[in-house]
Amino acid sequence: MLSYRRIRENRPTLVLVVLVSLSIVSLASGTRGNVISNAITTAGSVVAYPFLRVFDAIGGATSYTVGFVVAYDASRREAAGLRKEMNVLVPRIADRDAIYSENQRLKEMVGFIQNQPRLELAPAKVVPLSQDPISAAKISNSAGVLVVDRGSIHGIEPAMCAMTKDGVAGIVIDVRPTLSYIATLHSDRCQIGAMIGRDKRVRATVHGSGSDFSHICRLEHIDTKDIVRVGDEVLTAGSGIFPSEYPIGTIVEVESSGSLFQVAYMEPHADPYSVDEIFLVKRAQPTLMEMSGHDPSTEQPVVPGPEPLDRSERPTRETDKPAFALPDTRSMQERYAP
Amino acid sequence: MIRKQVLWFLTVMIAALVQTTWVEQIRLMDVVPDLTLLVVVYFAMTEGEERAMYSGLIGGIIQDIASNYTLGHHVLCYVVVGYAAARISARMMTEHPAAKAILVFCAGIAFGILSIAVAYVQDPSVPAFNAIVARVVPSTFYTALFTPILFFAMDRLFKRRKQWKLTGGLTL
Repeated sequence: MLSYRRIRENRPTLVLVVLVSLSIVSLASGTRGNVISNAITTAGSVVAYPFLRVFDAIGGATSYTVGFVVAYDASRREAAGLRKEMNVLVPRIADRDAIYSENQRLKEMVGFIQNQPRLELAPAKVVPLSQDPISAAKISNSAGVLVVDRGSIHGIEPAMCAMTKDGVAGIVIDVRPTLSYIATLHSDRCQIGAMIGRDKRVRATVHGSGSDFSHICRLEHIDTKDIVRVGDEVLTAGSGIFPSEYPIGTIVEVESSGSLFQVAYMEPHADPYSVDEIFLVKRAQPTLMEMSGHDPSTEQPVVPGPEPLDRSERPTRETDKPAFALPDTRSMQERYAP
Repeated sequence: MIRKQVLWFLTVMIAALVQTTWVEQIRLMDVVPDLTLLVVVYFAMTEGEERAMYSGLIGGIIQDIASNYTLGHHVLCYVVVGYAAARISARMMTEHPAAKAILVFCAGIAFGILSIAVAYVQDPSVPAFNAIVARVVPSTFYTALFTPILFFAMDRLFKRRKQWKLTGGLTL
């Protein structure tokens, strides 16, 4: 009875001794291969298994729920990052498009130059009028004037032809050392000698529209006997350094006023306000027609007639000369014999 | 009485399992709080040595199994610490939360030293002093910070049930 009381009074100490002893024995014997340890481990695992399943379920549900907030936050951050990236890329894309279009334009310019062997072209860049404030005040009241960055030191002279790849754009009206002023087809100061492509005998003078808002030019000094039709191509007539037979525009309206001359209206091919570069024609080689003075297109239909007389049988006259210089086919002896 | 035993058992099991699973989520500066130690100390203060040692036994077995330690490693440490904490708390004159936290801190230090000593006996290459300074002290401090929260929750869990028992289910 006494011992039972003593045990009961010292039960915690006894429990401590037992548990510590068991632990030490377990530690001393090691886990592996110990039957008792394995049994305790298995029992502990079995007891803990339902709790772990519940824990897993709670953890999964929590992750799923938290995922809404976290995923939203991640998406928001990603959207913000993409927005920043887009803000960087959009200007780059715009730059790339601009570079691409400039490349295309330069390619077209190079192609145009290569396709014009008759012309000596000087490419010039169109500059805003505000870059030349002194002259701008004088010229700005004149609509349709362009300023280009080529002047007399580059060999530019007044009355040179300004053209784009689409056709004639205007004429040089004033030249400074480093700048030139071009009266485009929008300017009332622009006057260009022209001819009708269908019938090159028909001559006219192209007058600029005189307005920035209208691009329709007026063709004047067309003889009333000449036939001009809507849709006819208008070409440059060429004179001096101005090249001939380059397209200017297309007839859109013909006005027969009953006076000495008739008037037509033309829509130009070139839009001088849509170009950044323009070509100035420094020199143009004359066409065969100009060199020979003989226009095959204006030849009359050949009517069969009498055979031409043999030159030796014809009486020689001083005035009997060909209309244009032909190559001298005589032999050297004939040419230089006394 | 049986419900109290079941509640105690569930509390210890859940604390030990949380210690081996979810407590990693609140790892701070490479240390985690020891919830099992907190439960052992709580039962040492409120229920006495035996309940503290049984709590340490269950929690220690679960942790030894989960962490693949030699069976008895955590059991030995928790049992000894639970017994000592119960003996010391029986002589405490105050129930101030700070005193409880200090007791938890001391128990944590004792647990850490014991644990490292056992590990050192098993493997003398363990850097014992460095482990105490670098791991035991921060971990114990972190554990002590949880003392007011966990003790408050445990008080609510167990004492309220007593009130229900006393008052026939009515809250006073």
